[in-house]
Amino acid sequence: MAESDAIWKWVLLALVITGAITWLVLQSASIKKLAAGDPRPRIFIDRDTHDFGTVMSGEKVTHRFKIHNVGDAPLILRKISASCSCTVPKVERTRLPPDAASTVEAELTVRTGRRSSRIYIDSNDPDQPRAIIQLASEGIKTVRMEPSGFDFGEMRLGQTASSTVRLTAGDGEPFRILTTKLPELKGIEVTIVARPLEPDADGRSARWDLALTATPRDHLQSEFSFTLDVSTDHPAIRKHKVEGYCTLRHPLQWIDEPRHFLGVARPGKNVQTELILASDNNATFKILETLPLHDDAFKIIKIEALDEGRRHRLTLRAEVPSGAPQGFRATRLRIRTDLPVANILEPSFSIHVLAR
Amino acid sequence: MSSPAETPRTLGLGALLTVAGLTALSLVMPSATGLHAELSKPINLLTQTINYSLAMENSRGGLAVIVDLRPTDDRNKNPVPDGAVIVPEQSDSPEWEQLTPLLESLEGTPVYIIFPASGEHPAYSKLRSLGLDLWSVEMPR
Repeated sequence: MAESDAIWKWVLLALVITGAITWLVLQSASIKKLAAGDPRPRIFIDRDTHDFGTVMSGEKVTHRFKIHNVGDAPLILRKISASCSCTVPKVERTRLPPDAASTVEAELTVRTGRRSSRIYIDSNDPDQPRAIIQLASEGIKTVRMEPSGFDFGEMRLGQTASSTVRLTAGDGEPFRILTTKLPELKGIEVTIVARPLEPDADGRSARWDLALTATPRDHLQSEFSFTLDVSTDHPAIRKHKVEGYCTLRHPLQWIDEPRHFLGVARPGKNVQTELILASDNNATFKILETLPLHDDAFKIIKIEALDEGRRHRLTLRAEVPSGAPQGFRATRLRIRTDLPVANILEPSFSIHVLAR
Repeated sequence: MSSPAETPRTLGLGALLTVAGLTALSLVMPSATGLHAELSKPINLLTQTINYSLAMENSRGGLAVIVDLRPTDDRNKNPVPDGAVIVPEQSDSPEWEQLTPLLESLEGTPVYIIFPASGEHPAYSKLRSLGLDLWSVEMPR
């Protein structure tokens, strides 16, 4: 056993020594090659850094770098690569005889903020196998929006509200807004006014206020999201989009936010609750119909007008049949009123049937 | 050179050191590199939790509703005594249409979720999108 361990120890030692000798031989060979004084290529780049300065984000900028072979053997550019996908290098020629020159064109897609990227040039220059070109830029947004979109929050029918978004050209150059276009919004009236701030004699400005005024007329949907399309004569902001959002409050509201889950009930038993429905704008109204849409177990058994018809107390009863299985029952309840707009409300109600 | 008597002891020490080094590497490398297999854990992003017995009590009292996201086998082996809402696994299943009035009516009512022991129920993200007051049930071990 001890003998076999000793053999392995010697084998390992032999491997280490062989490796060390191989490395030393290779090193001395390469030293010998460099020390020979043979002709060699040498790469030289004129001004190997370039700062594009402040540029609009997304814009493509280019710069040409000149590469010389100042050695006495042909220089071969083996590989040109970049540190980031935003930079595309193109080389004119890859084989340069002594004293010849070539160009590398760097195309940079500018990103927002202060950024830098590198171009790597791998060649057969033994002293500098990889030369580096540095690029820098400061990208500014083409347009700034304050706030980021139109927000009307929650609106009521008939209520007029305004929301303003300020557009500022990133480069500070004055421009003119040519058109503003909104999609058709059903049930809501909208007007748009574009105002330049401190305009010049031609009515151009680097800052514009877009004021949107909205008045909901019908409750066809409870949420609106829309996009305002703006076109300008600014070369970097030909087309711009501003998002907007508002929610529309239903003209009929439940008082005291009642729970629509009515709790538990045993088969053959009833659960009853009272709900008060009011008009949001203090208008009087009548309840014309109440209809369960999914489950007849839920019924409005009594309607009582309060406050001269501005509010109504509804008594909702869930009648659980005697053989009802354990589980959940739920329905939407259609409540139709005589209000001229949004006359239908469809709240959901549910109950948990406990068979045991 | 070591004496013949010392060789087995040195080898033993070397082996011990190697085992210790490998053990340390096996502990450190997975978390350092992220290259490791891991058992799937229950996906539970809820910060509100409720004890199982209290959840059952509140459900029986009509104060809350339990949604059981466990696989069918687990549900059958250990059913919720008073019943729970079962939701389809596919988010585009037509069964969701039937469940809509029930889920809509639960706004403002605590909804207790029993999560699968491991992995994620495909419908969980849909439940989260409904804006309900969701709680996670801590199951007894």
